[in-house]
Amino acid sequence: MGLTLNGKPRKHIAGISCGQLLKKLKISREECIVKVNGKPAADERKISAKDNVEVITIVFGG
Amino acid sequence: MDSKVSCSFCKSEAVVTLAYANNRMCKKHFCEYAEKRFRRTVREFSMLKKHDFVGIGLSGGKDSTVLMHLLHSLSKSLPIKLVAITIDEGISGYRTPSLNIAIEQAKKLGIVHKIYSFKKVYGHSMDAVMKGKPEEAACSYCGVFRRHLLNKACKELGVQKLAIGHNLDDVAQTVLMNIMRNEPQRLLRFGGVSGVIEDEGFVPRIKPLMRIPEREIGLYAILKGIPIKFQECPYAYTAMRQLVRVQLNGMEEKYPGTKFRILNSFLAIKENVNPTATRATLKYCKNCGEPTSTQVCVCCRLVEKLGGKTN
Repeated sequence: MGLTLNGKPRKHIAGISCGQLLKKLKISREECIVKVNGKPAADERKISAKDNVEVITIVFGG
Repeated sequence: MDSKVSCSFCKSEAVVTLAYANNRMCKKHFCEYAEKRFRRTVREFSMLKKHDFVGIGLSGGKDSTVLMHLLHSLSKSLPIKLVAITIDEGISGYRTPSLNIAIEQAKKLGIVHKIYSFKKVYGHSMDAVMKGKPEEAACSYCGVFRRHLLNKACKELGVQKLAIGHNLDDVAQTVLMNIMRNEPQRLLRFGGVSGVIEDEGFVPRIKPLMRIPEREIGLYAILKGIPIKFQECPYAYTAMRQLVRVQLNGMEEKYPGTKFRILNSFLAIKENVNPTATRATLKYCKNCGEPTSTQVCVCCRLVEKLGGKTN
């Protein structure tokens, strides 16, 4: 369905895992959480074309 | 094919992968695990005892808000009195949303909440301090003012211990930064319970979240429905800590468990150091009366530099 990165829409990538998605987006897994269909997901969770994926940065400076 | 993955401890869907522990956890097991680590850390460093009056350094960010919730929950089995203390640094657009969360969450838990501001005490907000100084490190002002004011506030309120939301990432970064800056004395004063300097002028600081990675605190907040504003301090770019954070996260991804190993190595080294070797001689600042190693404390010197006076 869709992928949003900190609220901004991005091109959806299906068939890969959440961990692989972060690598593709060059985002550190230490600094964000991936939500699939509104729920936090493990790195190994595979993303299908039907899924709504959200990447939220949660680690900031300050 | 089912794309979901299961928890390593039950059949529920996993919400997190803990690479350093080589397992995955569902919501229930993860929350229990985080809460257990918090309680274990409190015990490990004998941070709290019955009837302690504990201040919570509450910024309204994820770490301090989660800490307040965990301490509130602990207070049901360990009778301790809590008060939340927020420092308003005066950073427009950054502090206000988290300040609102701090007020709302303290109220929700029925915890007395006190707010102190840089502007009122030092005569300058952080925005005013940084005006025209883009090249200066904001944290060197902000950190000094915040520590000074928290200590002062605790004494004013009669607080015996100050709990702060330092997480594993903060602690690992601090250890590395003290090494990189060649500050062994400062490094050895660091720990789960603040330093080896015992003085009635210093309110001891405790760090019950020091064994929980920052990402997991954020996840815990999300899973528990604790409202959090995920935003960056506009002056964070000026800090050395930012560079250390990025490098350390890169290391953690490649070598899971790096942050825990830095903390554990530091604690093992500290255990073998004679505490008298790191004891500093304390004086009291002739301006504000706070403990210091010099005649005038760093905070008062900074305030003076800005053309003000500590109230």
